[in-house]
Amino acid sequence: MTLAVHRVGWSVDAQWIIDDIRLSVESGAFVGLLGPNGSGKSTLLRCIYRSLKPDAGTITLDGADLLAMPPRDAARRMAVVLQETPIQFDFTVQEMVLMGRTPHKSAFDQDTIDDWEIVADALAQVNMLDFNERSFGTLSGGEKQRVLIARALAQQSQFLVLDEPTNHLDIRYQLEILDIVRELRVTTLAALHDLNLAALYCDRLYALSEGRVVASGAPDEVVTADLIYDVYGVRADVATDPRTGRTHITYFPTSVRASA
Amino acid sequence: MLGRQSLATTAPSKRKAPPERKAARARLLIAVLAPFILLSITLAVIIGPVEISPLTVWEIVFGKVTGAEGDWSKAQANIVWLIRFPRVLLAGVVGAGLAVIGVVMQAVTRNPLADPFLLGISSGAALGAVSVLLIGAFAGFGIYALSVGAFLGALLAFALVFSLALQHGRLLPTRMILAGVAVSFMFSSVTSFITLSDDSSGAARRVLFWMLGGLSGTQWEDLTLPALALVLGIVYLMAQSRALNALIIGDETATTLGIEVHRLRRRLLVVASLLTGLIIAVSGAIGFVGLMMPHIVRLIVGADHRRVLPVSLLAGAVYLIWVDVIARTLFAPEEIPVGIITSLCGAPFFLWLMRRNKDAL
Repeated sequence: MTLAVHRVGWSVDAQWIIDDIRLSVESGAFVGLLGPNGSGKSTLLRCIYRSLKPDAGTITLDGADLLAMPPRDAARRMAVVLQETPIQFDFTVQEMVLMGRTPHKSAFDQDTIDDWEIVADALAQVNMLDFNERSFGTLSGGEKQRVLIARALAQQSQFLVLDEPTNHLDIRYQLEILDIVRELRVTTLAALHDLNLAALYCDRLYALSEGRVVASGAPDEVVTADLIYDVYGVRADVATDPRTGRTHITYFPTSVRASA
Repeated sequence: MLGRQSLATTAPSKRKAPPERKAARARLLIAVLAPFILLSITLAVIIGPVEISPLTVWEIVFGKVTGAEGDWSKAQANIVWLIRFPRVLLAGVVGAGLAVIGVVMQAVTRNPLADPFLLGISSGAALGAVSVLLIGAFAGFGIYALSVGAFLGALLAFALVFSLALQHGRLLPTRMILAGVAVSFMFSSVTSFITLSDDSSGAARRVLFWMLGGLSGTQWEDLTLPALALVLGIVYLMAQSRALNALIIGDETATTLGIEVHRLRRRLLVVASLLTGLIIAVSGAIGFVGLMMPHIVRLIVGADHRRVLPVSLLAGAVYLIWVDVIARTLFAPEEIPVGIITSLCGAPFFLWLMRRNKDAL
């Protein structure tokens, strides 16, 4: 599954919130979307998962026009993990995951043994099978996020969109969530706020600033001291960690001076 | 150690069909409630100032449907067939309808505290109906004028509350309740104004009694529209039950699961208004049924609409049949409007719910 975003823009009150966005996600790749708060990351993702209608540009999935697709077709091709919002209704974990089957069902269709196997497999993949009868509302943030990923898996789509999947999680769960996603080996586009984690996990990164793509490429090409200063206004040193071989960032906030 | 090992070896296969406790409970509830409705109807028809045996009741019903003769008096037949039976059935239909409306409104507003009464929808329907009763609005619709008026009033109120509760495309629960209160008061005051400025004697009393909600004087014709709307409504809603599940998680989630959220919500709005209008036109404003029934049902069968909808429908029917029995027997021969009893039970329930569900408001 290949995603191609071409010259996409979205405006409100004649002001472009995102403008002229070009982005592509190759089949099987894990692509990260970086940028400070308000840079347009979420807006771009909303355009891609069709919660917002772009005012300009095209978005295609394997060449098919994503914006013109019937919603059910789009939902079978693309699954989305949103930031968790509180819900007032009490669903069990397996009921939440079963909702992933919605785009595959017509009115009055019953759940089949196949559906339940898909649900069990999805829960097993995120190590949540033992929680299947638990109430979703009683789970911790990391557990909820894993269940939402399982729901996306139950959708059986080939393309996954994640909006800051590790937000508000302890570091252990941040790594766990990204490990799970990485091991799925599905085509993934994720908005991430932690630059180190983005560099650690992603094949390719796009950096957004004020609604525009300002850099793209492999992590070591995108995450540079200059870019961090330009986009975030923070001084930093970027080096390759000899143990992981990955880009690593050390920040120098105004209250901390580099002594070397 | 040993215990743990043996536990691991006897643990059921993880690929088995899911242990659906709540689904089993829902099936059991339906299996119990469905025959219980028949029993409730029979008992509710028997109970009254004139005693009639259960066998006679069903003989009369059988006789009326097939034309067979039996050894019952004409008076008995009239009491059963013309007075008590339509009333009991209407209580069932109204209770079922109100419970289903509650489910829909809670899903559309994503708020478990939503109820047609609380959100001003009933006041809208009441205004529409009173306009018909006293000013003669929608006279062109003949005997359906009252229903049309109540439906349009409900739709107007719903649309108003809904647009007031939206901010930047998001529904804010607190705003929704406040908007509902405001719309409710506004419509009620217009209703009162129309009622008081009408100088025909008895009009005010008639309207007041109707607004408190009552089922006395029900005739067979009163059943047609609400029953039809209930059947069509429940079929449509059951077809949308998966979509309703996704909708109460959130608009964006529902969108990513392939649901056209705006279209669905518009249709649900019309369905809920239609049911509310048609029911209120015959029963007056009966409050809190739509709040209580879905809530109690969700506690038992969970939040999945494929279970909540049918079980709420049955529970609402049973509940209102019995509340109506109480309404006409408690101070017999005087009758209490049924809406007074549902509110007496419902308001404390609402307060309890508010305490329990702190973040809903």
